[in-house]
Amino acid sequence: MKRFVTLLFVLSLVMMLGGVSATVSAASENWDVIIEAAKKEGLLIVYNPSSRMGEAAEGFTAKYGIEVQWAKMNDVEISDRVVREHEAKARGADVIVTEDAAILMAQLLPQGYIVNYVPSTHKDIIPIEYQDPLIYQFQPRIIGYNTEAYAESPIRNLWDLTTPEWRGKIAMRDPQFTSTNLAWFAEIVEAADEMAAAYEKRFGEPIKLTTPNAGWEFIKRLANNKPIMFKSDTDVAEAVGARGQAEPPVGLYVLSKHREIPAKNLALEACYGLEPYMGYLYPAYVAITANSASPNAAKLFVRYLLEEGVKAWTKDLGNFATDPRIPAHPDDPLGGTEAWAKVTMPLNAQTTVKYYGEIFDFWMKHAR
Amino acid sequence: MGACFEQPAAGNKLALLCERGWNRSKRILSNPPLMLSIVLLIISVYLVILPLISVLVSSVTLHSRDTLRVFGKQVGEFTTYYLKRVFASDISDVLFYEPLKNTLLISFCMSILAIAIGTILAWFVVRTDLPFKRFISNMAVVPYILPSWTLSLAWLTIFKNRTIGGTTGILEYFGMHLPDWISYGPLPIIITMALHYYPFTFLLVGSAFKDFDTRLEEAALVLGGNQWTIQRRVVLPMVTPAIASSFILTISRGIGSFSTPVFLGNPINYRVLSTRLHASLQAGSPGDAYVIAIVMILLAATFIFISNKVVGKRKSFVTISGQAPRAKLINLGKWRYVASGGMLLFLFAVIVVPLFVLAADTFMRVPGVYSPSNFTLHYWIGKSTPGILDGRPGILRDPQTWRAFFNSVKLGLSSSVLSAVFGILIGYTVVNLRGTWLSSALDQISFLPYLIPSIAFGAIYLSLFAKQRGPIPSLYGTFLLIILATTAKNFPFAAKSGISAMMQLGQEIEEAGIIAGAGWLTRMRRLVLPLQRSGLLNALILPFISAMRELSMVVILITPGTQLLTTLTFRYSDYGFYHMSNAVVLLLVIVILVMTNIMKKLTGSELSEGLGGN
Repeated sequence: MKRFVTLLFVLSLVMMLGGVSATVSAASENWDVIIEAAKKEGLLIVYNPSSRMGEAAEGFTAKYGIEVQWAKMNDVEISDRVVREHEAKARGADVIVTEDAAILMAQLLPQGYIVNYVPSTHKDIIPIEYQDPLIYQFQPRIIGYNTEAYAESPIRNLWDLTTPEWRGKIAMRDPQFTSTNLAWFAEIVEAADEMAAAYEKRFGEPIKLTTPNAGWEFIKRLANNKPIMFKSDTDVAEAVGARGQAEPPVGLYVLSKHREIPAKNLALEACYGLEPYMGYLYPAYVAITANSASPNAAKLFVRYLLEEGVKAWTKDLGNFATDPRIPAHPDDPLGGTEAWAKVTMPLNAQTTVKYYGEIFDFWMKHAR
Repeated sequence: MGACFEQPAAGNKLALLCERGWNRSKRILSNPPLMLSIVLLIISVYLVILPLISVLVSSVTLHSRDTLRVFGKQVGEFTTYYLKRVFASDISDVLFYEPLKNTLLISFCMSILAIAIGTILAWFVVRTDLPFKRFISNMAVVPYILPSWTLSLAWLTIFKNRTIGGTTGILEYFGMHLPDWISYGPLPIIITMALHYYPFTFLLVGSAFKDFDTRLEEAALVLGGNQWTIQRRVVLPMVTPAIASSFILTISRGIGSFSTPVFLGNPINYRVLSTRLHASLQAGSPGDAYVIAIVMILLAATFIFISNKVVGKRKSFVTISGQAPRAKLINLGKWRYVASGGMLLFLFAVIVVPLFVLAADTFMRVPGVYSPSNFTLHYWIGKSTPGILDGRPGILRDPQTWRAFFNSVKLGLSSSVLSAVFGILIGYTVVNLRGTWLSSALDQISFLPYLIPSIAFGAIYLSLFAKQRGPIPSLYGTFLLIILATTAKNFPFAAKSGISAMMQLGQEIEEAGIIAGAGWLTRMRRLVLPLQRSGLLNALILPFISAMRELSMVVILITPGTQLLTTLTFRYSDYGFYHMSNAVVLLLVIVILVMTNIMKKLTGSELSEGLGGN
């Protein structure tokens, strides 16, 4: 019965998303008018989770002469602020970037705090499945190891992470505060059959369940194996890749941290070939607030982010623009998003929403 | 009233009522203290009672994100979901019982340690012929003046191990491998908090040592007791009430304290109630956070209640006859220099060493490498360099620092002026209307914020002022909200000092003014306020300092546009930019020390007034 109710709820939510989510029509936009109006508005406020937004913001200011105030926050902070600013009718964010699909799809969009906006210049360019809500880039978060301590990847299967050998030696961002890690868990639950098959491949026998399926079972055993929690991907990458460690951990961090390998003299490599997946691929959504005080500057900024701003990320390894005209980094080991989408689990907003209510508590309960 | 007079046709009864009401309001209007008290009552109900009701309501109404968790309910509907989740669910242990246990353990152990340190210091300073006692006494209160997390940051700079990645502390750099229980968690939290809070005991027990009737001690001496027995059997019991009140004061602060556990507990997921509350807000579960806030308020209130019951009754025991002769100081003999050296060493270790370590850290490119080539001014005055600290410039060059600096000063000035004015007015009305229910209501309500741990207070203000309610617009994201919260949190102190100042003033002076024909405003301006000048000054500067170093309350209310020095430190350390947070803390320490010195100059008084002097 409970399951049925859940299903009904998810179905109605999916329908709601299809129907309600307000997409600003951009069939005919006069960009000269928008740019002119944007310059009059003069100020743009951006909330986002990445420090590299600073570079995009500077580029925007240099190009259009519009001041950008940007702040780095986590997804929860962004949504809390957007909701409060909306209710207070206060001057707040005009543009937000978030990685948390649940907040976006279940709260901010349907409750009318933000609107999805796709600039007319990009309607026919960004693949349609990335347009509602608009995604401007993807990033793989992968499991990596220390190349100084191990000649090749010390793990071959995700289930290795649940063995005593890796107890207390798995570094990751604390899922409590990292919506994408929770969303990954949701994908793992959704892919229970694959997880069960991988288990059998690793241990040579079918899995004995103490939870509803092999996905939940993996999360429980991972949590029980005492992973070390970090605040940021930078910290995880350093914990894994720092030289001179006798028994370095393996860790889950964004691939783009590999750009810091030379500068920080890290010994870091991704666990290629990990069964069934070596991590996940998560989107960054960009949207405009419903009460934006600078709606034209906001539109212009979204367009700028898609065509030029995103290069603040894609100039380094491990970030992929949704605009197919912006190529993957020349050093990319796999050659582009499609290849990464095969070896990692792409996060799906519907799956995130489906398990949102249970995942957090389940993790908290077992990760003690 | 006007409406009444426009309807002369209304019945006699109504006219009578109107007239009575009119007379009554005329009486109120002609009685400024009464009118003032009504205005103050409205203000304090708005700033204190309403927030308390709001937090109760917030803990049982559904928050918008949780529509994904609780099916079939609308946002804002009544729900027991959060109560169940916190007290009786699969994750209650994580959300509540573990943090509760940790909170009690830390507050208790930290209080014991703080009291031991404070009592020993006070005994030596007051009861013996210790050399340099004035200096020691002045220095002993400094740890409390500094922001409480100064010591935590210094601890990390020295003892941080590899567990959480990033740069390690000095000891690890020299090849020592420190276990987690030294680097983080209960042990360092207890030690650093005790070192911050012991001045409470030092001041309270010190003045008890100073004030008690020494004839008892002399009697014991005459009866042939040896010095040790006398100290243990006669002197110690005499100061027990002071020790008990220090204990209650310290432990109730411990329950609410946030910044030390956040720096030293969070890295290994060791949480107390305050940091769990903050984590719940950060993880997007405000409902859980408000339930925890209520528990914290009840805990603190329980301790205050016990203290009033237990300590309040025995107070008569402390100060016996006023005219007691001064005790002879105990002669430490050749040990006096050893004792003095020990204390100076202790103070050196808890004041100079931490500040030095923090300062040194900000000048080192790579922490722990002591060579001239490693020296850098980058973290202070460096230009933005890509790749170093996300390209942030040195703090003195960063406009963000200066914005935060001026915000901090603005907050300190406005909240201290507001609370001092409030305190004087409360004092004036409470004393003038003594015996009426208005007077005691004002007295009680203004004390309430004392029961509410700062972080819970911040959470409450967030929930109350996030939305527009009635005619009052939403104050979310405004600086006014931060000022209001800081001011209201200061009410207990302001009201207490206002009331005691007005008690001393006596009503004859104002009566004289009335006889001389001075109106109320003139009396306030020419008589009452000038007489309160020095008290007012004190009532201004202490709240100023505490507002400058406030973190746990404002951390929840701050937005990118209203950053303060304290929250900037917190942000930087959250990003792992320890150099920057250390540098900002030092800036803050300098401001606070300068202000404290100005206070000394202006009022000619010391916090540790008279303890070490003869």
